[in-house]
Amino acid sequence: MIRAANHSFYPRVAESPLDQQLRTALRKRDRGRATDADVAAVEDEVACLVVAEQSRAFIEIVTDGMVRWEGLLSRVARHLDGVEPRDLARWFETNFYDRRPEVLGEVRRAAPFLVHDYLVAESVALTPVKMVLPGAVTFARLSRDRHYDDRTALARAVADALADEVKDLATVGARHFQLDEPMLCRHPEDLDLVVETASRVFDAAGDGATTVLSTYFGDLSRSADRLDLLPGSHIGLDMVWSPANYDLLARLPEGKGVMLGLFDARTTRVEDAADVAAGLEPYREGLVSRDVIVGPQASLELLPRDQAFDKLLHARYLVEKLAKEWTWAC
Amino acid sequence: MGLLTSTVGSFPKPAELRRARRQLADDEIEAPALREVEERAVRAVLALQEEIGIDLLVDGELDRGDMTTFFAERLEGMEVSGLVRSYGNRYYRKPVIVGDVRRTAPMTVERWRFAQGATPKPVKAILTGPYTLMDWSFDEHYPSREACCMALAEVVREEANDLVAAGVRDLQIDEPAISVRPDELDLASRALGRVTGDLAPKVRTWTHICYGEFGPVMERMLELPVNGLLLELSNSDFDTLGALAGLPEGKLLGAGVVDVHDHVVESADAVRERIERVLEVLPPERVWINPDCGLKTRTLDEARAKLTAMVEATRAARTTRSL
Repeated sequence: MIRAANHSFYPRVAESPLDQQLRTALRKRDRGRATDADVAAVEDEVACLVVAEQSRAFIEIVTDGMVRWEGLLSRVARHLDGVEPRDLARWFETNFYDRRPEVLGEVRRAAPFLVHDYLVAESVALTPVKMVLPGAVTFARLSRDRHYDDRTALARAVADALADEVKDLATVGARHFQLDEPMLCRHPEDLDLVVETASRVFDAAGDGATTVLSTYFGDLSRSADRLDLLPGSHIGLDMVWSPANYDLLARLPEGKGVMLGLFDARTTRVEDAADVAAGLEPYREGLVSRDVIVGPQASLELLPRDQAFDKLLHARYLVEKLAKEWTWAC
Repeated sequence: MGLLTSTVGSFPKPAELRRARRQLADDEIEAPALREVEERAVRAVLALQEEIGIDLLVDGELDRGDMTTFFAERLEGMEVSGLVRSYGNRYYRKPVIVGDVRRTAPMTVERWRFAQGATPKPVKAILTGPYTLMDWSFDEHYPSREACCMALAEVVREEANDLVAAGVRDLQIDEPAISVRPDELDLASRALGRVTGDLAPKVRTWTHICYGEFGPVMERMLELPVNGLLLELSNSDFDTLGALAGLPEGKLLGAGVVDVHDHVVESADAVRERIERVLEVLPPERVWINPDCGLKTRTLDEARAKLTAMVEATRAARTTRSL
């Protein structure tokens, strides 16, 4: 089976005044002319708009667009006891910055913080909504830890908090989850800790959930012999960053699904679906027996809205082409 | 004399200027009308810096919407995309490189001349560096990042030479992206060297770098081909301070001692403590005092208050040392 999906974020602002309402509301709140409730109402409306726009690209799995997230780390940091989002730090090799979490005490989830996001998105989505969270190891690696002084202990505490959130999301009906662990590409020595913490989070999703361990901005070639250990129904690979991930396609564990990041989220040049399909052709045999999800390599918020939409549309074209031209075993 | 003060470049745009920029975009006014408003705003920013007691002034970059887009709008081979979020609620129109990049006319010289003519104090000229122009653009044209970066180095070099010919004595080349990819630091350095390499010796060159993972590249960053490095230090809690002891002899540090991404205005005492931390590592004659980064994200009142605290703290540190 092959499907198209958004990776995570979707641009919350575009050119028209309607598409700038969240930016305007946040600016007004900054100046004391709007309340938190005003902003929350706009966030809900924008979330509905971006879910609808993803649906308009006919992809099979959308996200809530993560329109309430300042960044992958800071949104979670704001909702965990013991953590504060602090200084701006660059998000990998992009032009995007997030606030670095500073860990000041025992990490615990104070209350559910994504359930509302999911319910709003789900209420307008025509297809399943995937909820995205940072992986505990990436969160720990990119935090300034002033409490545990032990990355393993911090990652375990974060994983417990994320598991609580996933459990609450599953309770209200969420069935698609993604944990982003881009740091695994750079730190293969973290694999055991990723396995332990991601397993803990995915277990909270319940049986039958789609659980994607997403890696990007790097490749997993240095973990090639241990891919079978990675938890989740799908492994997410960034096929744009490095050709090395193509070599891994033949080495994926039997029965494992794969989410292929085939569309570059860092360039406005839109890949042609036929070219992308030709690049996958040598790996056809290893793919047709799997559940394959295709889409952008990473957050589409690195692009203007029009190009983000085009990337999803071409991911969908790719699905149509390969669904028709390849014989799928499942 | 040591411990001179400057700023990184941008100042908040006053309401009148924001309105005029919108009106121009909507074809409600012509360019000369905007220019008139801009010049009034530049005079006000210069007067503000003089009043506070800043030593080396800037024009506030009031004619620039964004540090890369401004140049993209003026260079052949570059276009401007839709809005892209950079952090929080900040967006910019990211340039797109669609052809060979060429400069058809000076882009900043006339504006610098205007600012310098409006104050007896020296005014620093500010350009965006080639590596950042490349890294903060979508490149749909060049076959490699190196080719793109070096092509941009040529246009920045031409602009720098024109600024120096116009009388600029302090030239800042902003390279906030330079720490993004450690494996490309040599390329970034080569491109920066292409810009600064043939400038007259009497020009003091600076580069401003902020909000990156400096750890893996700090040693090589200190060797960049400029006279001084303007670094954000406060936002990152002075994480890199220790490494600055390795700043090569003769090079200057512009120390960022005011956080520009926090609405809270630091007290002069708090800023003074930060200055003293820097002076534990480098002697005062090699240290300039600055905010972390441009002030455009602050309100005018916040910018004024932060700079006032900075100058007050610097004066106290100077007095202690009889500078």
